[in-house]
Amino acid sequence: MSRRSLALSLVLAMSLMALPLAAHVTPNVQLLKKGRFIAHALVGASRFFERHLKLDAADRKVLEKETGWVPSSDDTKIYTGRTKDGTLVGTAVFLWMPSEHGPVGVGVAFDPRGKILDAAVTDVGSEPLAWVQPLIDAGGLSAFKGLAEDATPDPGAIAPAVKGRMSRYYAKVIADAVARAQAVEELSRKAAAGK
Amino acid sequence: MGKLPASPLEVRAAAVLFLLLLGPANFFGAWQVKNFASFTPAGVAATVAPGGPGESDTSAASTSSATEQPISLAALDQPRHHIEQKLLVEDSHVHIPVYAMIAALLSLVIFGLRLSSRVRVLLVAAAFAAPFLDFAGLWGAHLFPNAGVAFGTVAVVGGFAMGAVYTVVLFVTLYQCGLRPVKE
Repeated sequence: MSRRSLALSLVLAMSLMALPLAAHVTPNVQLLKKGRFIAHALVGASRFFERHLKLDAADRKVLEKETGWVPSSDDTKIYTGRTKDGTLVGTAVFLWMPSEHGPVGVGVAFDPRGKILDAAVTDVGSEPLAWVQPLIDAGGLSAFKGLAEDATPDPGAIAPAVKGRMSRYYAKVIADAVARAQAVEELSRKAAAGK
Repeated sequence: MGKLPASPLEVRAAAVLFLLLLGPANFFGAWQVKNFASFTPAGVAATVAPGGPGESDTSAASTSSATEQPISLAALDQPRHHIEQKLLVEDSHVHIPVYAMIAALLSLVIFGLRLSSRVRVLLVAAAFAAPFLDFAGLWGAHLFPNAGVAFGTVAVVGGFAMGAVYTVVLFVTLYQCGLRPVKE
């Protein structure tokens, strides 16, 4: 093979190499880092833990009945914040909600008795972002602050001034995520206390 | 056998171009492993261990329990990728046929190189054994998590063996087809 042929081959190979770079999967958009959410919501906590919740058959049935959902092992990871002396400040649950146009990641922080301290959309698919962003901009998720453990999250309370049909659909997706987080948190609290 | 270095220009060009194009594919493959799996046996075992995110955790404990381990908030935001069984099936379905085709094409190139029969047999065997080891290791680590690190080692060895076979074939081909003067 002559030098010229080899050089031509190299150029051709490099050009072909660039082709796959054009193809890509639409990524999710990270709106808020989980660590930042936890640090902001669990004020006073200086030590953090990952709690692995393993459910028995009865609790699994309760959860499925309440939420119509079977969690993945990642969904049953609960993050706890404690003070230096080990006192529980609160917990946080992060869930992914599937939706027609892409996933929505929601974080919910609870106080030690299950009252909601804060809720936020942490990640969202780039397509639903257009409908979720107005809800966030209107401070919609603050509607859940202070919600008691046995209260049902109301999608209508999320930024009621935002009227778009798709935004209202995503308000329901977010409220469902909060309800699931409440159910997981309650079971986690009971499991941690040994029932 | 062994006629590639003396073959017409277009035949040598096809062999060299195939190998050169395979290089970026291997490079991006390694990058993909770095992004979504690991180059260490323990990392591979953790990536394919059963019960990861996205897999509905249908196994029930005898009683509900909760265990805690310390984490740092910074580590929480590090992306963690897990290959659950469905994805491993999909990966196997896509990768194994492609690996088989690549091993077959590498073998064709190996047949044409001026090497002893013993070396050719060794390279052909390695070209097919490497992807087999890779996926045997991944499935072993998934199905037998208690031996995850051992199977992870098998997968890592298989992955590096694929790269090693490619590198040997590439350099021998470049040397015999392009750099060394050929006596017709």
